[in-house]
Amino acid sequence: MSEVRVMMEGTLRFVQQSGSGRTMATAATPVSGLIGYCTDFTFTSAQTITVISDRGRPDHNKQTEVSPIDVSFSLLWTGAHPIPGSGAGASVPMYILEFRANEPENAATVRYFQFFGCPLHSTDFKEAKEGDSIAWKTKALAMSGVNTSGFII
Amino acid sequence: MPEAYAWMEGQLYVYTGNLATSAVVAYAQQCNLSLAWGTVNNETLAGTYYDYSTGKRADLSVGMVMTFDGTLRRLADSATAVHIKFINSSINGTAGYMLYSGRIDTLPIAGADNGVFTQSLTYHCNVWSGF
Repeated sequence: MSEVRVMMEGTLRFVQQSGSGRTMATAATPVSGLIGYCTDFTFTSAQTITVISDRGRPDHNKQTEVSPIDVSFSLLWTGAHPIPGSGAGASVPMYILEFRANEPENAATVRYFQFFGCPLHSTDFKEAKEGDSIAWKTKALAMSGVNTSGFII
Repeated sequence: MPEAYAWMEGQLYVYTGNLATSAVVAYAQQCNLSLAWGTVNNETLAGTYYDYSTGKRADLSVGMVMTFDGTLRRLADSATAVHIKFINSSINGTAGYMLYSGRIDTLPIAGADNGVFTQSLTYHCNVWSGF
């Protein structure tokens, strides 16, 4: 059984998205990189399940909606931050985000979540003595994971 | 008893009059299909009741997010008939209706602040089959 993961083992990377946003698609030589000084990262993936009842008794479940994935993360601000990209097939600039969690106890094993089609929904900036911070919220069109392969350099 | 069908499991296709070309109606958000049978119910002098058919009519309305694909407008402009297939497919089976030789009646377009353009389609025909 693997150990529990902790924040120090995780990294968050981005790449400028191209295409419609539902798949791993980037333009040639897109800007990519590590999101440094990340202080928190969360995502929520949800679907709507409607319970179909037969004369008042729950009979079966139906999937009636797949919600966009709420993704948020905060980082200590260095004065620069990545800019989302857009390419053929999409009018809204978007990122692909990739969360990695290293498993040092399992040799070179790394676990990945990829989030596709992430535009910026909100940016919250805060200046403080302890360091300026910026918090981003986005909604991914699709996600993949947990995977054992990563793509973003 | 089979499962209920969900909206996510449905598709709506439009066909040209010769059934040579079809296209899925993309970004459909809601639809209503009404199948109506007209009858006149008469009593004879002998006290027997008869139903006389006066015709059948299917009315369909579909609401969708608009794209600038002109397929629906070209079908509405076409002098030939338009067929529509309603289909629901899940792991538990497939069912639907085929609507034959009808006409697209209206294609209203609507837009407003803070929203995307929407388009609706109304259609009627007099022949259909279920599967």
